[in-house]
Amino acid sequence: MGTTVQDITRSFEPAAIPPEDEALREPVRRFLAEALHGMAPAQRARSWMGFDADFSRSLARQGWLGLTLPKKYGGAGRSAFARFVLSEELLAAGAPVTAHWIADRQSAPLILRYGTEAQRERFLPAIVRGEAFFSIGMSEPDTGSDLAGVRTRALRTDKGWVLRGRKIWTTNAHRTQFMCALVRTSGAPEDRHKGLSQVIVDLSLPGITVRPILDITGDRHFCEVLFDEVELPADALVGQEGAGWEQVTAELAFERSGPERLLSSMVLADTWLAHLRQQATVSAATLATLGRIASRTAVLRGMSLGIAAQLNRGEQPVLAASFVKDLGTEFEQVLPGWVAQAIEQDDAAAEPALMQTLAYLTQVHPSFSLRGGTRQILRGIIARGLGLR
Amino acid sequence: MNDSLADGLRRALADHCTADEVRKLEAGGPATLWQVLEPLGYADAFVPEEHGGIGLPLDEAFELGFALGRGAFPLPLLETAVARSLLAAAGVQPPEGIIALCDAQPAGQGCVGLPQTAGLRHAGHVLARHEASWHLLPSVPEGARPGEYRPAVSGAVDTLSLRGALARFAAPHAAALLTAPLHAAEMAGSLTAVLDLTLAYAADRKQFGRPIGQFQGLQMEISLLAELVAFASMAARMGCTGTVAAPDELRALNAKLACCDAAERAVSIAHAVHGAIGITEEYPLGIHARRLHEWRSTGAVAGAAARSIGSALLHASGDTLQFVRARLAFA
Repeated sequence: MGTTVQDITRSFEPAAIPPEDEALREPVRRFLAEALHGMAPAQRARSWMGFDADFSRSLARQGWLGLTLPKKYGGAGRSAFARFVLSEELLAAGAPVTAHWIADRQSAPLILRYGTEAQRERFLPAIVRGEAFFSIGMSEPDTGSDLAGVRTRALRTDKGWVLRGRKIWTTNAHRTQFMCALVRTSGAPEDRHKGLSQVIVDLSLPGITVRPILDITGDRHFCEVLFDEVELPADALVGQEGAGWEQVTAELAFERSGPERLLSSMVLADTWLAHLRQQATVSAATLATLGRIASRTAVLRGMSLGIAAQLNRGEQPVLAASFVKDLGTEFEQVLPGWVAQAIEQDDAAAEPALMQTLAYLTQVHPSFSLRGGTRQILRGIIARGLGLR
Repeated sequence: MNDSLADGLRRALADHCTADEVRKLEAGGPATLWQVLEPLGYADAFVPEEHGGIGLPLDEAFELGFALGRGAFPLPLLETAVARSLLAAAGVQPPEGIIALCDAQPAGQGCVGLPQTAGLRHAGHVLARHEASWHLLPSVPEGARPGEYRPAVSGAVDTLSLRGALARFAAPHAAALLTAPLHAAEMAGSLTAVLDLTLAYAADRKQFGRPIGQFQGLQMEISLLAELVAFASMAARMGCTGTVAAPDELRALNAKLACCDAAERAVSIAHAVHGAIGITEEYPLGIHARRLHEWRSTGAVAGAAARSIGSALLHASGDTLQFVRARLAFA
């Protein structure tokens, strides 16, 4: 296809958040200051991996779930900028948002776009109320980056579908009510992108076994999910049968450019900043590191906002969104090392809360460029957009 | 910015500012390229309309800088344009020709030194800032040290007297600050040219029977290069705010910092993709590479810019995001 360099540069026009959306910020900040009071930084550093269903429901009571969904489904009918404001405040503060995060970010827009009216009425108001949490079933034991090779199969029956197979690395499958799964509905794995569909699986159905997998920090968020002859109703299918690949691709565009792709280490940055503000002197090298953290955050945020503006205009800046994800996750990943190096060089005793936050992020930051598709696959997609393949 | 202004500049650069012309100048040839743009009025881009200039505000200067950088225009047009606007505002008739712009450094015995400055060796005049005053110096003294990256074009002066200044007037802001957003815009343009060259070379050059751009190892790098170019462009756009005579300080420094950091990595990737041809004199990558290195090492350099921003954050109240929104975000 080949995008000209000029087009790419044009994708990043700075955008300002309109005042009516900016007005959402203060109430959100006030709410978070109270709701997160006393929560340890290492816990807040879990951010969009931190689970608290009650917290998600308290956001719902404020009307802050499904912010961009139409009012007829219980949403607030707000703009992409309003959602940007809410998201960046939640993430910068380290609010435990994972319970509703996927439903709010991906599943709801998917259902709105491809679902039937009955599906919209069933799921969207429930998502908005914080009663329907979603996980996304993509990877399988033999199918990670090569997603078109999925083997989990939904076979049509006279009553609906029978699901058999296995998903893995499914975040929150053990504590969400629904999974939106990419499955094969016709053909064989060799058919690749053809014959794939998306189904919404009620995870309470018989025949489903969910096994959480312990991560290297002792958390349980991702899971293995087995489907043993699970009977799904006919309306489990979302969108068109056989159009799963196109739908998933469109869905992934929602997750590539948001503030969650640059703020995952922000709790550490702020915890370190608070530490530095208590020191009698701060070295020149440390000031430079601090400046670079602010600078990268500012420019990446500018890029993310530029994309939000395009999404708001109904455009689909898929390539530009990929830029934000790759550079943003790189920043999230490099930040803990910068802080560690500065702490070592300054040789000032750092409080345990700071060091625990650093230890947590040092261990999990490799996942930041894995979730939603690995860096190398993403760069391959960008290379195609640049006309290299 | 009015489109015809940017279009006119792009056309003039495409017609006249060829790689050969740039090479001749950088090899010590005369500054004939200056005659391409000065008669078109671009040196008066920032001079107010009532003084016969174009009156371009800083937030519309990105396109101008971007075009100059992408077109590899080797002389300090924007520095001259800033100097002419400062002179006009101070009621001094701006002289014709190239004006270099820099912050002088104390050199003892009432003298100053001039740091590495773009286009110094071709400048008819220098506008140097010393102790919060601008000094318009009539010519560049003999014995100027050659530029580190462009020996025949840029340069530095170890010691000179300001006594012969043609004019003196108040200088509230450093040259390093005034040039930061403009150099960032030029760097974004130059980096875009680097990406253009790299994409073209990766499609054209064949090894193992296919274009090298088809190898995944290089695709990973070239994708990152494109990302860095987009990052630099966004930073430069965000930095062109305030006025030409008083840019928003932190936003301007942020732009320069981001472009310097992006350029360091981007140039290294571009060279890796090009292999040996990239470091030859005849191939145009070097023209952009040394220019980018010169911008990185003059005016507001990355380390100083980062420390200024870091210090502002340290002494602010509130968290990083609040600081970023209030002091660095697009405004």
